[in-house]
Amino acid sequence: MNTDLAPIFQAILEGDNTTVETGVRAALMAGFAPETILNESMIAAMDEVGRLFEEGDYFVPEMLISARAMQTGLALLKPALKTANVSSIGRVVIGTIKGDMHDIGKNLVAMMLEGAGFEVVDLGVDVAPERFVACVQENGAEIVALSALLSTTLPNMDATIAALSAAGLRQRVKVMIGGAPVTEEYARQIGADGYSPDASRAVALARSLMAARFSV
Amino acid sequence: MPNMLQFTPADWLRIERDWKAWWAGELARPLVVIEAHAPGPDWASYSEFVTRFPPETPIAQVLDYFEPYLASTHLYGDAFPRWWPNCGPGVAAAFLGSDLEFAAGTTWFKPLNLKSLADLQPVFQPDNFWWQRVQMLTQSAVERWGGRIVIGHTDLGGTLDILASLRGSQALLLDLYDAPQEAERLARQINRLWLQYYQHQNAQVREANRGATAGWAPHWGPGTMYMLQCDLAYMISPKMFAQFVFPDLAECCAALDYAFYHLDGKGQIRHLDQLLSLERLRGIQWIPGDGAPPPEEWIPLLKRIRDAGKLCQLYVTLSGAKKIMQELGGQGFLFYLWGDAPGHIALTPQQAETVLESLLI
Repeated sequence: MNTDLAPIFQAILEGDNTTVETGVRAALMAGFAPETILNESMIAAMDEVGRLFEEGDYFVPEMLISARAMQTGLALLKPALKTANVSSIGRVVIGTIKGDMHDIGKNLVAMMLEGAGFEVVDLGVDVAPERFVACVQENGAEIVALSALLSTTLPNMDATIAALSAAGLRQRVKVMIGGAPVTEEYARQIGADGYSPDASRAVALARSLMAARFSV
Repeated sequence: MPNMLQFTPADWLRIERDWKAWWAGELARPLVVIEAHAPGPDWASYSEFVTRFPPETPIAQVLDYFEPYLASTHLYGDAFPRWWPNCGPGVAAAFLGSDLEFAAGTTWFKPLNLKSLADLQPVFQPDNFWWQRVQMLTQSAVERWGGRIVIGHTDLGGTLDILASLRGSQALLLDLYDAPQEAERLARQINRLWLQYYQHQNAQVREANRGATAGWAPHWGPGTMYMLQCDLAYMISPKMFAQFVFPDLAECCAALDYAFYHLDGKGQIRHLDQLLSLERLRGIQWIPGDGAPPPEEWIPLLKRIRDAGKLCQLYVTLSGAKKIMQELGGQGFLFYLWGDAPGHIALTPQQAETVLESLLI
């Protein structure tokens, strides 16, 4: 990594909004390409946050403050990325399924995906299958990410996949699922394309689903 | 076997003898609780939430609803008749101003609209609708069933969980970094209110004259008892647990004769050493959580709990209970037994007979 970008990387790890803000402004002023800033400091930092989480060194609050700092930087960087025609690496529609109001896991996945360079459309909580369908139709998303915490609401994951199939979208989108009661076996059972046990591994899964999509 | 409304004084003497021995570590066998569902009422539509009824529903009508279910719940092993006003997990948030909303199978608490944590000033509100409602339900239940059934506490929630309901979980997790002193202040303040609610309700349930139960958990005790919890702990570090959770747990343990802790999910295991260091904490309820292996697959964890001198309560199947007894012995365990079918369906009376015979309790 370029040493001039190191403060941004470090500030994201520490959840330091102010330093991220000044760091991104300084990097743009110094003539760094926005894509370089994004990839070498911000996405790299969020990858490191994910690694620290998987290692048990970071916990949810640490991830949240890092993601918040990353979003501060991303907001500053977005106009420059647009001007430079830098596109996202994929578009994800995410939501907590119908009947479930829990949002932290879903929010973390959304933030981590954004931090990894995805464009994320967050539908919030208690999302009916037809809303996922409408959003995919409207936004042309490549991935649908479904979250649940309550085991009683799990059948609505199945229902959402069925609704995507019924709308003729299933061949077009990959479906990834996650949440405390969700397992790999359940993902297979309902025909999801992938399962992630946490927000960090959701990024790796989304990347692999995008790669699989293009390799077909 | 008796149903919940048929327990006799002799049954109660047996319960008191064996449970007291278990708490004292003097019962050589595990406690086994089976609450079997006999045919009769519509179990498929049953919900124990009193919040399923519109708030203006007369109390007597709410209690009437539960009568046939109590009469069709048959008690086996060390089970005892119990009822508690279930207004959802952590109803103390509603006592402090959060809006409560019933949805199929659960109750949600809406966060207050706060700009910052500093705006939150929780105070005891004697006229709060839900506090009044819980007191009326408790009082009426004591009057209706007291002497026969132990009336449990409502699910007050854990201190930090109540704060999370008031503030919003994600906002609170950020506050733990951004405003740690405020978070600590509020945790201490809410814990004092928690104790106030607890003690007030305890005075009510003691009038039923049948000891105490932890409400939603299947424990009976001769003195003050409760299932302490902090579900938010699943997401935080041991350092944060020590700062924001441990002091309040210690305070609650000091105030209770029989304190248990609801260890919910593998993300909480990292706090186990701190929990086990609480001298006055009597035991741990281990809930692996949906999607995780069942309790009998956690033998090293269960051994840690027992080796630390703590009691342990589990929701298990017959084969699960047998495996644990084979590996660790049954002493000090409390097994709440349910069926093998997905969804943890309650046993039928016939199944309960077989299960008990098989365990030779």
